[in-house]
Amino acid sequence: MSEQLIVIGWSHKNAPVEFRDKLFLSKDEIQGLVKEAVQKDFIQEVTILSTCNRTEFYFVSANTSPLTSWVKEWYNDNLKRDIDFLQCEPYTHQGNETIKQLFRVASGMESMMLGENQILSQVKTAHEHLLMSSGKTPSLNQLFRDAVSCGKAVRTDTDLCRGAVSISLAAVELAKRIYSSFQKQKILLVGAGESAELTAKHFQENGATQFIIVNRSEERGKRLAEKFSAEYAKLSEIPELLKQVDIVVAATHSKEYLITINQVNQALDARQYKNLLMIDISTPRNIDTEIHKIQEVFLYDIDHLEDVISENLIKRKDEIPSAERIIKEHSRKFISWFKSLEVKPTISLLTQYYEKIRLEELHRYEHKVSEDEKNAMSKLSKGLVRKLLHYPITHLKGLADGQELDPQTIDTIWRLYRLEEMKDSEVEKSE
Amino acid sequence: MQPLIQPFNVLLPMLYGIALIYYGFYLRNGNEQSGKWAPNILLSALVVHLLYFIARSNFQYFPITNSFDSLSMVAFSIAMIHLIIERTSGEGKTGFFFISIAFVFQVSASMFHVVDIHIHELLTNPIFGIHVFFTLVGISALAISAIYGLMYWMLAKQIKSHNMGIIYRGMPPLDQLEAMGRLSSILGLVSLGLGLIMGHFYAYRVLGILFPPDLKIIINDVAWIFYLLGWAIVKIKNYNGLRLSKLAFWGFIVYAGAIMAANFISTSFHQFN
Repeated sequence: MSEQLIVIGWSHKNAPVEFRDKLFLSKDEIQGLVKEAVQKDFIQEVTILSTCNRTEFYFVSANTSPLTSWVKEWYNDNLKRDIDFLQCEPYTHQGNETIKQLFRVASGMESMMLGENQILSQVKTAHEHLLMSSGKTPSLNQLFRDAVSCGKAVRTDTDLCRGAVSISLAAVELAKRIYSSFQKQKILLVGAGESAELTAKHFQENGATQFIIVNRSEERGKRLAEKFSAEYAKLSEIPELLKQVDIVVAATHSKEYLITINQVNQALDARQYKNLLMIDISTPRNIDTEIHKIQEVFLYDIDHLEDVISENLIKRKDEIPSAERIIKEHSRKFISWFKSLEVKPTISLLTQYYEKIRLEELHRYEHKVSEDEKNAMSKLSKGLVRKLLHYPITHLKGLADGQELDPQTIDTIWRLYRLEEMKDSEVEKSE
Repeated sequence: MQPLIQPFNVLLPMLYGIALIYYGFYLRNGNEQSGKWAPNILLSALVVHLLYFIARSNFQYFPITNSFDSLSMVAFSIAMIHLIIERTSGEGKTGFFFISIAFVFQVSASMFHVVDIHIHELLTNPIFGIHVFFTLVGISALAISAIYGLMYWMLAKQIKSHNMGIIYRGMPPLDQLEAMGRLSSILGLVSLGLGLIMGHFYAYRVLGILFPPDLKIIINDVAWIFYLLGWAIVKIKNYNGLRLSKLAFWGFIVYAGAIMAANFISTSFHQFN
């Protein structure tokens, strides 16, 4: 039986978060598994992609049947995790479907949030782990390398991963339409909860350095301020702060407006009518909606940002066909390459092809000739076939040894001699 | 030189057209490659355009002998100023708008190109040539600044109304539009100033009067003074944002309107004979 690519996995599509948490593997655990796996005779190559949303085992194996149970046993026996796998059976894909699966994952097509970007770096990390492992992994190495380039191509050539799809990122993206850089912009964060922190984090990742945190609870506010090397101020200082900041993000659960139109109006002169972006992601809203009427203020609340997100998601969905085309093209290239590894089966099938013709032709004449003549014909035809095949086989082996074998050469041979049919009939016979 | 000029009449619209296509792709898809190629193609167009002017001058006179030549000079000025601003700010997404204007002007100039029969004596004087060049570049730069003002205004309006249309997605951020508009108006102010000074100097040499009583000259002088005052006020008062963009836009509309009205009232310009 020839070697096959196979993936066994759990993702947000077939397993709840609690189950996925149990499956998550650290770098050391992955290395431990790889070390043990390569000792098994049914595993030729292995690597694992483990993120918060998916854990997938990629194998090259000639005997795929024991793989799933081996993975389950490894979790329960080696890692002592005591996972009830009956709760969630893994999905398994073989051959071309495995390739497609990884390319789709790297492109963000299989992500919980369509077109998510982080997965590409996670696939890259999995590839790095693979390269660090001691065993030889030519097929998976190429598969992961191609998956990364496929993911990159989807991101460059389509809009599948463009446009924010979370409230905090949408807020940052919106601010980017007003300010080309956040380095000099002062950002006032009203609130010190999870949403405020996440928004601050995204602003910081995009270059913001100047934060002022305002929060009712001083202790919590100062804690967040420390995290972002920010200043802490009291709620009563908001009117004064409005004179100097460029962006205001309100994210509290206060039941009343914390920023009123009068406060902003009074700050306008001191601000010299500079633009002010106000983002209210609080529920209920904390920024007076009347502020929208002020010419220099751009006020966005959570509903506006959600509109941005849903619009971005629609645009991402429109990009699926283009992304699929890129994935198909990259898969096709990988399949060709993978086939080029099949030089031994090609030679074997080619020999079988000629042998079949030889026997058929001999059979046609065997009743017309004597036994001696039959033996002579057999010898002659054997020698003829051997000589006819000598140069092609030597050439193919030479190309394979020199790693110069072009996938197209193999493909052409397979097509010329219809080796696929030959292979199928061999499988049928063996079954 | 005439046979030498003919290929330019095909080549120039073509080069501006190709640059326009690349800027269009860059605006629509944000394609990095298009963004890299567009200014390089535009630079080639400008070099070819400069060669055209040299060939067109016959090394004897300033190459604006009719109104279509002026269009070609305006196309050159707009493209050149845009390229300067793009190189300075590193932002080329607005290129599509400006190069489309340059393209239309150059196509008209190339289509209706006429062979010079009689060359006015004025055009043989280099000071006059420099005056015309700087004045046209100055006015083009102020027009570009007004367009940046309009773009700012439109983008601000879209952001304010929570409308995420093509302007929202394609335009550079507001602060960058403002910076580009500021740079353009400074270029305009300096260039127009130089052009006007050269014009007055030439008038003095030909007529013996530094300030000839010509309505168009007066309008241009007054406009320049207003621009200079406006620039000083903006600097001192630290005006910015929407107010500044409206000022740049309406300021140029009034200026252009006044020039058009003056053209209508007084048809003769620069009567130095």
